[in-house]
Amino acid sequence: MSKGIAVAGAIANQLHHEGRWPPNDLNKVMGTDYLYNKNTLANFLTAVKWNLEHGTPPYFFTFDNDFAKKALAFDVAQLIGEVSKRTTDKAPKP
Amino acid sequence: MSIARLPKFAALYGLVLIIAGVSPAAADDKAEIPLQKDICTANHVVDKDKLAAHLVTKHQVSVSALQGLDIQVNGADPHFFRKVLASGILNDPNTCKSCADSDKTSLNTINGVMYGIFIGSQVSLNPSDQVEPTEYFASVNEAHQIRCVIDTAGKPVEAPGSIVVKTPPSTSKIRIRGTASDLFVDRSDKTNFAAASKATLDFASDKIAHKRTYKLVGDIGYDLVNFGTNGQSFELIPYIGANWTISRASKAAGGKRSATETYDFGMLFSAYLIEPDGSVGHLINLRPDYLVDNQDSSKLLTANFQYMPIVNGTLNDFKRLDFLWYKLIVDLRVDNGFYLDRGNGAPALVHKDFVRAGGQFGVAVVTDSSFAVPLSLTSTYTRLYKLSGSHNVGYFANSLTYFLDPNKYFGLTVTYSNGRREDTAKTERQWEAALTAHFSKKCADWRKSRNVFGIRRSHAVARFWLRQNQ
Repeated sequence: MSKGIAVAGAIANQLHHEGRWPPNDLNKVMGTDYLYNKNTLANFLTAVKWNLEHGTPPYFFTFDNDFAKKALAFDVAQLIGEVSKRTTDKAPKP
Repeated sequence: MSIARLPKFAALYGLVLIIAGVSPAAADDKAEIPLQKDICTANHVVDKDKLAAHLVTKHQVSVSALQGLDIQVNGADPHFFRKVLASGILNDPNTCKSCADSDKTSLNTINGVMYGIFIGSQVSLNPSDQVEPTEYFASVNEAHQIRCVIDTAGKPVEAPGSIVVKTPPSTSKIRIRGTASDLFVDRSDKTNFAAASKATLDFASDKIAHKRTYKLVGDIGYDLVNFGTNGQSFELIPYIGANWTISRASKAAGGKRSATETYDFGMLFSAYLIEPDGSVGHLINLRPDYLVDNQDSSKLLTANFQYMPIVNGTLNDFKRLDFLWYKLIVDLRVDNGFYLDRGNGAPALVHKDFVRAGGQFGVAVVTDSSFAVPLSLTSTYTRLYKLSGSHNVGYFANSLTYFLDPNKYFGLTVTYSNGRREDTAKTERQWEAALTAHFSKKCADWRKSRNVFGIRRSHAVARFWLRQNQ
């Protein structure tokens, strides 16, 4: 599974798990439409990170708090793109 | 790329960019997934040229990003935008040396749209397989097809979509709230911020009763330290606060003066910890506070502890119910108070060191952004039982806002509170109706401005209110 597909799938699954999808709307903005705040979005991104690391093949997504705060203004499509940008197939150095 | 053709191309492409650059909101007027009539062929298959044109013009990829690519710039070529996306520029936008940061964001978002389609998440589009976006656009329409979904009546199934102008997150570190216990609420948390206690500065003159009342209530803090990674954070917010209500009757009315005069300062330590799988987040606030009461000369040192578990979609987070979103609010609190000086007069007799434990419970309800009536309601009850000392705390607070515009900049807010406050242990019963206006700009733009209260802040709140205290 390619990195982009894995990231899109992890984000879609987490949106379903947290009751934001359906409807599956790529236009919805994480903060204003889906009512995430910096803490709940941090939970969301941590869950996406966990699921990517435990997928087949594993992918490794890292983010800082500045990204988590900026992500509140992303729509879902942009979030997929930005998370994919920060995801690699190599485990980060401890 | 042919440099000779660049100026001619720029007339077309540049026009798109100029429009987008001057009015970024215009680019957001398009949905990520357009209507089927705009991208689907008569055979109900996505036309790759039309989809590419939509994505590139919506997400404003600049001409400079194309430098070094083997592509002829030709605005008259109907396949031009598809060639751009098939050129390899989508493979890894971060390595694009000629791309500006905005181009990289645009290209990453285009990738996000395509991956969102390829995982089959969109009801309007059905992909035949999963490929990389570059490979998709490099092939003919019949290869790696994305089919346009038609319902049993033969009508196209359209993608859900509504366009909201994205407001950038605030960069201000200043926090102004009605009580220090709300300082941990960040402005990016729009719903909780709207329901958070509000600082008040007002002056009232009653000509019938010959009385004037001055009031200043609020806490101002500064997000001094904020660090962490992977969503976990640690914040340090020093603050000062005041609760001044001075009511003075004229000599003709007896000349009486009544007042509440307290000021306090303290530090909020806030930590947010997350379980490794993201299932639960733990918000922990510790707030030492030193309060001086000028009325009875008492001095009170408190240590206030708050714990809030956050489980996405379940607890302290919103869950959708049709056109409503609701949130169950639960936290636990322990307040410890030590009188360094019990003060003078009768109040000194009841000023006892205390330990109170309990929590806050409530619900917040917000209508969906696509719903015609934009409402926000928050209702909480704070209950703290005395384990030692005097006074239980029981405080009922409600806030209902009707937003007058889609961006929720203006609203009519009605609040009602009743009970004994947690911070002062004094009783109040109050309702208030206010017209509120929120202006959000980057902090740098507001450093030179002052709001109607003369306090420098990155959000200006104008309030016209009617208030009745009992």
